[in-house]
Amino acid sequence: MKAQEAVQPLEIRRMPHCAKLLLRGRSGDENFVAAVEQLTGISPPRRANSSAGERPSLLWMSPTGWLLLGLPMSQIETITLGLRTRLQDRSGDAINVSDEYDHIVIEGPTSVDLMATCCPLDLSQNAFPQGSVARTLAVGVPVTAHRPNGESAIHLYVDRSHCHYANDALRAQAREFA
Amino acid sequence: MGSIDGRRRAGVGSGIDYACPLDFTFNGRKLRGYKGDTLASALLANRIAVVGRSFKYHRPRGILSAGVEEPNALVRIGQDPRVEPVARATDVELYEGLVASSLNAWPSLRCDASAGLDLLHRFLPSGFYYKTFKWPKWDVHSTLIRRLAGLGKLPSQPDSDWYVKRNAWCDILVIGSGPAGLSAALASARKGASIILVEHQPELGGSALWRPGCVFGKDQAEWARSMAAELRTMPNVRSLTRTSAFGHYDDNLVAAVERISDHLEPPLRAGLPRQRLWKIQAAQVILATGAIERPLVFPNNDRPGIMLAGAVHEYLARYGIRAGDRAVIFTNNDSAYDTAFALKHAAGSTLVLDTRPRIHGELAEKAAAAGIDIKYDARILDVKGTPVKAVGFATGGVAATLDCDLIAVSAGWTPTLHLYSQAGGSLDFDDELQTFVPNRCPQAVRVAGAAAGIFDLEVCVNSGEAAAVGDDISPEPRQSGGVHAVPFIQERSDRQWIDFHNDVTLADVELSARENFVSVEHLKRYTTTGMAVDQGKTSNVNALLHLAAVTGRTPQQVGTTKFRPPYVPVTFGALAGQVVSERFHPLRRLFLHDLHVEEGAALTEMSGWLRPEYYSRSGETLDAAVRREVLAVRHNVGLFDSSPLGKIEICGEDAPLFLDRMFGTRASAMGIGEVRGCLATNDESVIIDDSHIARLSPNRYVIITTTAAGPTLASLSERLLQLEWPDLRVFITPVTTQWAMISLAGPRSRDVLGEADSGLPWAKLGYMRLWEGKVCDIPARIFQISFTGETAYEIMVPALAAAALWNRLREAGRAFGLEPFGLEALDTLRIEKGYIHVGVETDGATVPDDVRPGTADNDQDYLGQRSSRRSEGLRGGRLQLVGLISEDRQTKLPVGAEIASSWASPSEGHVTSSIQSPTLGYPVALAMLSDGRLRIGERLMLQHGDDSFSATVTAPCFYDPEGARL
Repeated sequence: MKAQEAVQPLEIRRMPHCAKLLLRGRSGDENFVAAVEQLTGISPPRRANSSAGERPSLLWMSPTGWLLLGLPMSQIETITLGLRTRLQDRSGDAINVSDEYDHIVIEGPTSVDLMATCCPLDLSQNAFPQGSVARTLAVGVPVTAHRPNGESAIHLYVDRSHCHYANDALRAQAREFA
Repeated sequence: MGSIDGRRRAGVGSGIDYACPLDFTFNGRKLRGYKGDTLASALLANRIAVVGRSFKYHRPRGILSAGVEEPNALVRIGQDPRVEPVARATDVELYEGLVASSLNAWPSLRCDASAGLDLLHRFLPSGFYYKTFKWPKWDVHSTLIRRLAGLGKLPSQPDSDWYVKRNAWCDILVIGSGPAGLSAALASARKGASIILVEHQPELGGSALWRPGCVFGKDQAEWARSMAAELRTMPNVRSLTRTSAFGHYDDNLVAAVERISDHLEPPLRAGLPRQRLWKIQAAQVILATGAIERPLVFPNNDRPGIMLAGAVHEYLARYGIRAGDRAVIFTNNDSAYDTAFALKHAAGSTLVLDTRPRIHGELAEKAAAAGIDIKYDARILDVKGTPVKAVGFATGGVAATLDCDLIAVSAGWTPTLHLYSQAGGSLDFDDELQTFVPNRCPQAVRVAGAAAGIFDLEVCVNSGEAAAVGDDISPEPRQSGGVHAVPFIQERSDRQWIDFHNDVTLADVELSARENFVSVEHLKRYTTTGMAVDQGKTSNVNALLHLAAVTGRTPQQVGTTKFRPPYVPVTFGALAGQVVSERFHPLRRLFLHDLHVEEGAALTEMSGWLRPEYYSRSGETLDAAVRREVLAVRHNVGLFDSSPLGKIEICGEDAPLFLDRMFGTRASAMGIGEVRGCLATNDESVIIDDSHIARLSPNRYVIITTTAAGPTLASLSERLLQLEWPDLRVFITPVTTQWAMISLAGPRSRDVLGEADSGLPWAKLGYMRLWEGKVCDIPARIFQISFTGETAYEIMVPALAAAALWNRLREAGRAFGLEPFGLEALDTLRIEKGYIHVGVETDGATVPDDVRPGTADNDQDYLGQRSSRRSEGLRGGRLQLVGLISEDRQTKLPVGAEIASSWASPSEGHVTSSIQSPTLGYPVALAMLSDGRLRIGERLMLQHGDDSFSATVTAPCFYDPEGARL
């Protein structure tokens, strides 16, 4: 945001379609880790609920899953094929989930308050600092929440089938902060 | 100060702003109060003695208390559509234009048509409705009783307010901001902990704001305000006033409701939510919830003009109201003397009736110095007048009568431990206080101040500080002089009230004991004491003390009921928040939602998805549309959005082995591109899904599940992988919404697909085959499987490409009579074909062999295989899938109809699905029938409600049984 622009108290933005790749493997598997590092330049974070990298970034989703974000769409196939070839479908996988999740960004001084109206997880800066990731519920639907490194905004990845509802419900919750 | 506006304002109440008068109406009468008043204080100030009628006997009732414990002064606030049907007048802040009316009185409070019920009280004891009114039959009387039951009247319009919710987290949650709560909050905050301080009243301070007394040499109110001011400056403290904590749950989750705009006059509420529900998760909870005064029990102790002594004091000190001109104080403990001193100062004359033989020490000297007239060893024998006009009492065996207009009573104080009990805390009976005090709590909960049975002001403050640092504090001194246990007067026990709110008397408790309802939980249900709005805040202890007395047990042996949320009534609106109307629950939308709407789809909810039920053409009925769609599929081609079907990718070097163990379909033996159908079972061999498995590569499969079973099957697979087979290297990834799925079904489906994309490798396709490639330049997977009984192609494409494919197929299908079809048509097609719908044909006991013969012979070792060999699964008489055709071939059999061999024999099964078949021209049904497969051709009776039918048993497949069309 440019310095001269007025700070909006709360902004809910539905982001354009972007590439998302789910990497499956075990963090203790050297082959898998090496393949991911080589293909993405990022080592899969081992600490639960954390992320690594900025663009692209790898979000810890489960002990055997990482969400790769911030790739050009053209690289999806390269990385998918690269990982599958190296691991021979035996010890890991890459699955294109670009269409599965919609991306909503909540930004502004009251963004944490908005999330507190509809999410049972504490997403304040203290409890959910930059680089944090959590799979939780917001407005009653499953979401992956992420506060990217270098940002104060909260990014939500919502199942596409729920996105219309989630977007509408978040805006209704935001009425309180209008 | 003399009286203000000629009423009962006797002095300058600490909480009243006399510069701000407020006009309001009560039962249509225009009255005036002041900013800072509650409705109750304003009514008292206007000499309104009778404010409502009791629940059961419609006895006139006045204001008893000054807080949330009020059992009598229940009123309706507001006018449609903004109505609070049952509110406590003691808890309603006065605002300009407030409209209030009494409950339970018709046509008016003064002349209530049901007042005569009190005369019939001997015939209406507790539980009367359980055991009488047997003639002519209960229904005759229940109509009247139910009409009389209930309090308040619901608004006739939908709630026009909106409500919000908020989650919050803190290190320490302090509930209550009296002396103990303030000191606990400040001590905690000074250590840097994050604090949430919850206070029911509009201002922090609790009783410190009006009670006389000093804290460490400082006036109590001044001390409280300085503490509150310091807390307000601290960034780590969030103070929530007008907020009531009403529920304490596991993991120190406390629910509270904040009244945001209830206290504002309507024009000022614009744009504001009415209330906010807080869900606060705290590492440590400190309960500084104070204590509630108990009334003494004596004949006619429910008359208007009888109030709790502490409330009389509060109305005087806080609201400047003298509740009576000729007051009598009836007490068994020292605390009521504070009220006596205050009344003496304001009113001049006060008589104290003390149940004790004598008071001693400092209190006795102070009473003597103040000129308080005390009668010891006293009992009230009766009360005259409504409202109170005189009191009959005895002292040392000598009876007397005294004119009075106020009786202030005190039987001691009950620590407010509802939240403590909800948190799992156990209570101990304290003989000195004659009430229950906290003992041990399994959660991180500490109790401070009066809630801990501590009644000395400075010890209360210290106990708050101690709670903040986790120190124990001696509960001594508690209530100086203790509480004198007063035996209840034995005579006229049916006119001595324990629970004012529910009209429960001593006699009702005695009856409960005689009927052997001697558990305190049974007492509550039998007599209704402690139920409803006030939850027994003033009655519970008296009730169980009397139960203990009549059953010869100690109060500790009797115990208390388990307190349940909510501590105070909570509106449904606050609980619902914004989860109302179209946001009542999350509905999933198809990726092609807009296209379906454009196509004229009538949408319906199925398994959480909003889906086309049928596509209406020029005002068609549902039946006509379904018929058209079904025939299009049977004769030409149909297009169906099957995107919600579950899709799970299974990958890893042990994927074949994993699937062999999960399903009895030998996935490891499948060729690449092969698809197999299988009935997924749980470990009890009960069917949980009708799935298809396709092999994409040696170590990669995709499972297509039914819509509802996708998450279930993925979760079961993950659980088995993590807990049962952790050695397997397998990755399970649900991808249901990454892919859209479009089904092209019908004899012309291949023509349409070929028209849409002329480059498809048909040699690689075939029934139960999968091909991966591009369709119309879109990455796709084509499954040639069928849910309709016709040749069909289920085409998976990335969700965002679905619209392009749908439009291309629509265009290509134009020449072939393609019609989109909805769920109703699909259901008809599958029933004609005899395909099961899991959860419709099956239930929690159906095993694969019941619906698909021969599956019990599978000797592969898979989940549920062992259970499939249990005698229960193999016994004769099991319900098996069959078809039914009604005898006249015209009547559609109702779903749910019971099947029997004859009218006299027991049920042998039931109809699960039933349609009017457009293809066959007559109705058919599927049913689960005992030994059904052995009874093909048998004629059976069916019963549904009062209707009877007869039908012939057939094989379940009514259409193309050879499968030639697949």
